[in-house]
Amino acid sequence: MRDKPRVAPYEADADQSRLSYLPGDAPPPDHVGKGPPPMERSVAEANLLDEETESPVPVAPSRAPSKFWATGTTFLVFFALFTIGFLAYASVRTVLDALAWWAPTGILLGLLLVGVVVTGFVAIARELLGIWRQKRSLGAIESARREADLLMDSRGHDRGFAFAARVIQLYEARADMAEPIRAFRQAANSSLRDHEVVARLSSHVLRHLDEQAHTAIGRALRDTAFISLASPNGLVDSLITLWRELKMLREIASIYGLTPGFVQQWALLRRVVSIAATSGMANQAGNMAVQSFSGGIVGHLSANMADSLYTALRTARLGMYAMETCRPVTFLPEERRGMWALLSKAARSVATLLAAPGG
Amino acid sequence: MNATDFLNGAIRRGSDRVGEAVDNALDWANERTVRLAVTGLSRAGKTVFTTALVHNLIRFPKRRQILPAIANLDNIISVIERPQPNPELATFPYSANLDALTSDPPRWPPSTNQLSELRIELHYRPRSWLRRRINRRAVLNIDIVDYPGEWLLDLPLLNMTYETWSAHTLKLAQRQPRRSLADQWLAALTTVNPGGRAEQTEIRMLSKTYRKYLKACTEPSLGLTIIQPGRFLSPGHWDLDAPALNFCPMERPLGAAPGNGTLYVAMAERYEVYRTRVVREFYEKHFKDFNRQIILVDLLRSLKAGPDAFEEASEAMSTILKSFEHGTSSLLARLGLPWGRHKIDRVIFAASKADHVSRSQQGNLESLLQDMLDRASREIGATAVDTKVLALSALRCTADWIDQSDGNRLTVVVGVPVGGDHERSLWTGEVPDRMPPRGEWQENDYRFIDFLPKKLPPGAPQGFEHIRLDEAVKYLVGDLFS
Repeated sequence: MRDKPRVAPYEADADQSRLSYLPGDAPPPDHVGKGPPPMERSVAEANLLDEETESPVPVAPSRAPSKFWATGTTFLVFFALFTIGFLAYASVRTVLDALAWWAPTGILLGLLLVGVVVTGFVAIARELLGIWRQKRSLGAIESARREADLLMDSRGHDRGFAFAARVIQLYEARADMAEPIRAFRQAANSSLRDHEVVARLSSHVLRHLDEQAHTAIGRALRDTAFISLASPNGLVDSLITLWRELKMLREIASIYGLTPGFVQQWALLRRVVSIAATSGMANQAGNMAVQSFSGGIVGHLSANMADSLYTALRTARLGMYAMETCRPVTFLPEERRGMWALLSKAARSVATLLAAPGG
Repeated sequence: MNATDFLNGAIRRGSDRVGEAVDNALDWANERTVRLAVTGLSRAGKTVFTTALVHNLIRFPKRRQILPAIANLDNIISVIERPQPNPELATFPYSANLDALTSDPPRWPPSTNQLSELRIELHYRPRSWLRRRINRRAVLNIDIVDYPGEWLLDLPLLNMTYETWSAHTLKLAQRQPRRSLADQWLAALTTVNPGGRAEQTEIRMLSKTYRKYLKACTEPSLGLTIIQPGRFLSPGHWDLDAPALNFCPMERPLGAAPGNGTLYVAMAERYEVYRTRVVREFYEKHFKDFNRQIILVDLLRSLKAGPDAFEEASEAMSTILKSFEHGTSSLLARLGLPWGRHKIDRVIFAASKADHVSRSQQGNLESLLQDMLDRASREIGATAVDTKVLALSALRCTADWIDQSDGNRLTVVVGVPVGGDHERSLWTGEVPDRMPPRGEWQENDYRFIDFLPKKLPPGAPQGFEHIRLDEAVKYLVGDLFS
């Protein structure tokens, strides 16, 4: 709702019955006992308090589903059904054959088959339920990020607070986030505009999650570097590295309030890879630099060392993309600069490994 | 003492001296000084800005949420206010100002009437690997000069001859409301002959009436800005009876150039002394070598006073800003060497007293300031200097509330007005986002009142509540800690 421009200026006694606090304003100390009691407003009410526009913030429609993935999913479903059907047919035939050969063996095999089928269905049902829930939370994060992007261009008020309240809800139950959330509440006041609230949310609350994510990435890149350095077999090296990177993705998702299951990790990986693939020339240039670096100076020292460094850097980049995917607010320009610290951490980790005895 | 002992002693003394020199060099390498130009006309809020900045910075290491925008700069260890490095100047009265702001009842600090300086010493852990290797602790000195705002208006005189200045001032005096204020002085001018012999009584009489006119122009409700020469009202350490402070503009006599000993030449000579001895000296000593700048503008006062006052303020600020050197400092200056030439490489245009309007109007306040200083900001921008516009209040003395009475839903400001003893709510009217055309400028479109500071415990240990002071600090010096 916009302040009506035609209202003439006026001055009046600060009549407590007419006035109410704004979201983000704690009652000032000199109002205690004099002003009206502070009002608690729900997120919906907070939305109504905005003066700039009457409609809620438009959230961009979800991306149209890719036809490729629709076809791919159909293929996978048919393939899975065929496999299950074929296996079921073979299994039932085997049980029946065993029953005909010797009844007790057939009964035992039949019971085992029933056990496998029942537990399989339960596991699948649980996974599907998990996926459904996680899809909602991942979608909520994506939607939050779009809303945050819009708010960064907004010069209005209150909507930023409503957004911050929703994001804080995600982390309020966590003991380690109590202090950052308290600091954010101290740093917020009603004079802040939407973009300022979002920036403050990012620098006060999400920054702590970023630090945790950085630590997780640091651990992962140290491990992948070590695996790459120590592994004698390329295939084993790739598989273990993939497993470790998936574990890192899961950790990062959990830090930002998502709890991905096995299938969801693949969805996350897919999103991360799609972001990585479309992230522009800068990353391509980075890749080339890394490759030329690994093929150059370090390559002269040892192919394994170069491999190790390259793997660590790749893990770091994957981790950073995962952070961008899971973070409810896009990184601010000054926060993005902090990414170089992570890359230098990757280089340091590898250097430490190389310096270690036997490295 | 044999030759070996002598040699050992000489080597020890030599190595001690070398060690001392290296220590001094390392200390020097880890200490940087940035000169912050707090620029603003009289009543723009320079003194309160400086006091609040110093106070909140001092408390920042213990209470980071005082300045939320830089709360993440966790490498700042301590902040100490120091006396000014220039022994010729008075120390900025930080403690006295703090006492005034936190007294019961609170009051605003008195207007600045002399030059003073202050140094803020920030100790921090360097982030760069190389600097950390040299010293774990580095120091950033922020030097701030405070001065009467009236003196700022003298800077354009550096590029004006007496003749040009006289023509400009006389033309200005013909505009209302100046015309009625200048009646006595203008009448006095008609009684003298500029080409005639200079008489001390005439000079004194003209100076006195001119000074009276200038004094009348300072009435806050008029919102007049161009009041020159500034020292006529705020002389600092100069004596008001000094010849350099006793002259006035007058028309050049027609015909041949006025000869020596004439009234016109006598006035011109005094103007020249004022320009060179007072203004240039002030400029050379205290207004050079700035690195960062914040320009505080009290837009509300100009807006309330009407289109003439607004245009005058706009013109004054644009002219003043030409006196500062913007651009990139020389390499030597960036290396911290004393022979370098410093220039201002970051500028904030700040609409001060943003707490006097409701938060819904602060965006418009920023747009209006941008519009007001459009030309100046474009010229500064052309020198590849980073600029930013902010609606700022270094000391917030109101709160925003919602008034839903009479079917309207307005955000109003609530505070105790100056001279009052209880809170009042104020709807200021909608602040325009650009300078309104003269025809649309209605009297009573805006209502602005001055508020008292909020009551705070002595010494304000919690720091001062503010609006975007933290953003200003981040922009002005935040990059120096990274």
